[in-house]
Amino acid sequence: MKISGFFAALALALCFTNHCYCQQISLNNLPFTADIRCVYRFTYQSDSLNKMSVVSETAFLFINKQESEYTTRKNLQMDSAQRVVLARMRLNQGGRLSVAGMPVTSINYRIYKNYECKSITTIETIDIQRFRYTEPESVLAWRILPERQAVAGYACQKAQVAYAGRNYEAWFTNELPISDGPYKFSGLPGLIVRLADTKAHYSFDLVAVQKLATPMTVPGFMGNVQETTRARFRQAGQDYRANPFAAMESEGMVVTEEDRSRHRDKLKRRNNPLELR
Amino acid sequence: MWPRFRSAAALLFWLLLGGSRLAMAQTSPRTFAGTVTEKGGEALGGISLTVETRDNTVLAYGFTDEAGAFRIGLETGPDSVRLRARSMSHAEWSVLVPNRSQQFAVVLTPGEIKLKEVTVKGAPITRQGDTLSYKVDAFANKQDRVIADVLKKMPGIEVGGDGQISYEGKPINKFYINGQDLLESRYTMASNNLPADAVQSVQVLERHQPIRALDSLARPENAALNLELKKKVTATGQARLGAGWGAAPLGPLWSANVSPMLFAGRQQLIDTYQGNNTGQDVAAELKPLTLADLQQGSELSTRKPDLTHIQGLGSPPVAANRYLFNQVHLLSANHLVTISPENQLRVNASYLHDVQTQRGGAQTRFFLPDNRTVTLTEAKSNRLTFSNLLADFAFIKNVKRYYLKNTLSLDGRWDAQTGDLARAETGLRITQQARNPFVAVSNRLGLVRPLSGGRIVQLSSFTFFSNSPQQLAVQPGAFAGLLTGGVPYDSARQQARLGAFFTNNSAGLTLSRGGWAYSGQAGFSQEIQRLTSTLTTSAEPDLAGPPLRNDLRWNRGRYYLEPGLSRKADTWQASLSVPVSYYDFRAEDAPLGAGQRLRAVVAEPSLSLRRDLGPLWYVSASAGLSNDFGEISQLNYAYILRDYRTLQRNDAPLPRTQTQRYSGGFYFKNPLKSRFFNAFYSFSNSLNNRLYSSQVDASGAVTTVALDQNSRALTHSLNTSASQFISPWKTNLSLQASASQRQQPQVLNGQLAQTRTQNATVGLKMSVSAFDWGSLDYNATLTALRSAVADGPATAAARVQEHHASASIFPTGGHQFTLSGDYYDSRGPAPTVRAVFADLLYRYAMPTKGRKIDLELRWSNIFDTRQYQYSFVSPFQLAQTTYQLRPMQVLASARVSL
Repeated sequence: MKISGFFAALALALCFTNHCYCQQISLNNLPFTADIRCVYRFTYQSDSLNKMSVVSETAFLFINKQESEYTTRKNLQMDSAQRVVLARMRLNQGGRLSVAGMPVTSINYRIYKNYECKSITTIETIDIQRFRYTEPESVLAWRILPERQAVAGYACQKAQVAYAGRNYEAWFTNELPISDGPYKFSGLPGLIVRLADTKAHYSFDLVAVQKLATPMTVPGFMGNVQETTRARFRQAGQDYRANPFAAMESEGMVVTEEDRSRHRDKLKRRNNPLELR
Repeated sequence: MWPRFRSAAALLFWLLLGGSRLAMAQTSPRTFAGTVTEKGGEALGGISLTVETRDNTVLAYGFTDEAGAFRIGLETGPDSVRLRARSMSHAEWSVLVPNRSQQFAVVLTPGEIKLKEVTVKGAPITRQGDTLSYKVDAFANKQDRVIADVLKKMPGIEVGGDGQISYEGKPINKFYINGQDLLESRYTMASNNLPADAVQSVQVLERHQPIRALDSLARPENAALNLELKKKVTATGQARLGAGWGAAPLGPLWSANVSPMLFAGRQQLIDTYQGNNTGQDVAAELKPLTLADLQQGSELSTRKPDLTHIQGLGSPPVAANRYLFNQVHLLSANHLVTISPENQLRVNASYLHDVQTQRGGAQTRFFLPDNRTVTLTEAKSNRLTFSNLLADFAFIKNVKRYYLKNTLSLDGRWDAQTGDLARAETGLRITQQARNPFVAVSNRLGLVRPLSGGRIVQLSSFTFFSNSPQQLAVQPGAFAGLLTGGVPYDSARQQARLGAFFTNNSAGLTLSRGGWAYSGQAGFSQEIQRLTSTLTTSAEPDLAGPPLRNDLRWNRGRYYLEPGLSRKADTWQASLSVPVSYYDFRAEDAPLGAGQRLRAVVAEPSLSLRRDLGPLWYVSASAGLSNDFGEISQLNYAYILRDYRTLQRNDAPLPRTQTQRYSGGFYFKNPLKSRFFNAFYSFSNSLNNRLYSSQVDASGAVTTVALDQNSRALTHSLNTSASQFISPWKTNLSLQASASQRQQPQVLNGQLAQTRTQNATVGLKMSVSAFDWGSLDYNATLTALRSAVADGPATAAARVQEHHASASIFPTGGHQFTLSGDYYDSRGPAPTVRAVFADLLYRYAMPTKGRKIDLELRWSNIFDTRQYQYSFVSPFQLAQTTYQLRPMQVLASARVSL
């Protein structure tokens, strides 16, 4: 309770300084305290041409009274490994990020949703820089359908939405009156239990919902975050993919043609992002 | 055409749906608006409000703003609707109202609502890339003790009678425990003794390359199995002791199995002692079930030769524990130690001693072309002694940038056989005694080293040395007509020794660029063998008689080049290999002045293709040409007494078979739905330079000679299998069907005829463990077999049915009763034979903490079925073999999980 009180105070302070009541309120690189944990199985096909490129990861939606944080288990592991290394560097013990044994994931975002402000804030990394942008929940114009079905033990109702170039079908339940879901998906009158795009490239399945007996602290991450807009963030992503070594070369590193072609191949195989536009 | 039709249909659909809705919306748009406050007057933001039908279908919804105000528009709907407000920190509020625009002042009372918590059970099978993971808990039931019990029930996985594990119809190439290869090819020692509850999951590693340095390059078609244990360090195993009594001639029975195991980070071990006289065939655990890494083709000369033997009885097509009269001891030690992060040492040593007795009879009727029938009846009583020492010492380094493995193996067998035989027609009694020892030492070395630029160097070397001095004594002497000029004599003694040396060495280079891989391999193999044999008779041999001494020196050299090309893309791959070999073969029996030499260049191209049709389907096809040359057992210029009624001389050109093979199949798997299906067809056309001609005389003696004439055999076969796991019922269903047809010429008593054999089998397997109080297993196979000569009428089909059913019930308190029954039924041209077996098992799992202790009482063969008859039918003969089975027996045992 104390911590959430602190958060509320912080939120207020931040909102006033931002001169707008409803902005993202949490300082995102601080730990997040959750009362409820939802676990999703997140399955995606990273290469639209290769149906064998299907990967399955575990994703978490951490919820407290005011807001929620969504990310994948591997992303949390990556961030915590990085935190250890940075802490050691700070202590001048020297740190090396060991690549072996590190989880491999192309997911490097955390998504925060504020229930009162109806806002969706994304913190995502391009190369090594973290960016933050906020969208209103109204970008998700849900259409509710009369179909009902039990999914994962909950009475669910179907809904559809189009977002960033894909059409999605969702099953939400009002047995859990939490207007939230995996990734940015939220704004329905109940928790999203299953969501998949119509091409079945991306799907999210609720595996567990747990009320935490003692509030749990979700570890944050290190490093600065740069404020931007979604449009500018996407532009930056495209620029990086077009010339991924620009930053490295500007620092005087030598990039061989082999490195370039290998990296181009890798990006070519990751041709199926969740957000197409 | 299609897209245009589709867009027209879509437009129509839109008009029907969207258009009508638009019309309604114009007539009656309603608004539900108002405020939400907490008791005491404070406005509540972020509360969700829904407008629902009476049966709780949401029609429209909205949220309150910071001032607690909401506004929900509804276009249409029933006469009355329910407005409901929900929040995690307030009690739910709802009201049923007429469906018209209206205002509400909602007051919520604070209060945590109880969260409906759910943990969805994970799917029983999950897929991650090329790995399928089967959760053991989802497939196991209470009666499963060892992991093989559970493997049998996993869809897509099959366990054969000898313990061989297959996935999608193809045998696995590796059996790992926590990713380590402790047992290599003899993995049944683990699958039959590792407690199922120590295993977390069974992983199928599809298209598994055991050599990590080749991982990116070549992906074999076969899968590997990995058992992921629950704990990082597992000390487990089982111990079982039993005693009992069997009806005469069995008497007292005993059985023991002590198998401690340890799986830790740096070492793994499985040791076992197993012994019994209850009919359990523990020797099956020593049977190699996979090929060695880098092994190319078969290594024929490394097998134990069968030079001479007593007249055997064969084994009936029922489970081994029904007919095996044994007295077996098996001691085995298997240790794997990681001596440094990349290097491992492994020792696998086993000793087996087994004394088996067989009793039975055989009656063979030959239908000769001149309408005569010859009958041969034998009653047999055999005693077989097996002593086998096997030891492998291996050094293994298997990392991405280096593969080095050297295995030194020792195989010693000291086998002996004695047999008493009575011929009903002549009243003759024959005693036979044979010794067939065999000692072999071999060394296998493999090296794979990736260099820069995608090149990989491979070296492989295999050397083998063996000696096998065998002998057979027969009383009274056989083949008096040929050997002693018709004078009956006391005894015949056949001595035969085969010494063999074999080496195969090759070096290869592989280049890969993009999706292409080019490989080239050059090597040679040399096989040097010497066969000496002497047949002596107690009577003076006929001096002008046939040659009875062999001294055959055999030398076969093969020099080969194997270029290969493969292309790997995202969804398909193809590989072509064109090995070209030069064979130089010499055989010479100097004392007999006989010999032959053959030099030949042969090409054996093969092509295989595979294409993925999405994540669930793939198709594969292959075609190839192969050449097989005969082996030394098919060449002897002087006579050898193979058994008391087979005197054989092979004075013919070396046999050679050229085979064309074509096959294609498709495979489906949906791990989410636990559904597997595959079907494949193959065709082979083989040309043999020998045609076998059999001559049956009036006494039933068969003389077979090889004619120097080409014969062609055509074989078609079709196999399909499907399996489905029904998760909520814990039920696995699998169905298998296969059919084959073989056509080949045959000569009997001088008449040449084309014979055609057709075979069809359907199998069903079902295992149901839906309830806590019981489970059911059932499997059945139906086989139909028929053959025909030329275009003549086919013989009546022989139909064989086999049914095995077992039902278990688990009343409370750790008790278990299992009743199982086997039913065999064969009918057709031979007399109908039926056999029924029933067994009862009572097991009590003691309520101990930690260690699991089971007490067991097993009552086998309740109906005391003592005989089984098996018939074999061909256009020329009807062979009926009668086997004596184990009578009723009772065994009490205690089992402890270590």
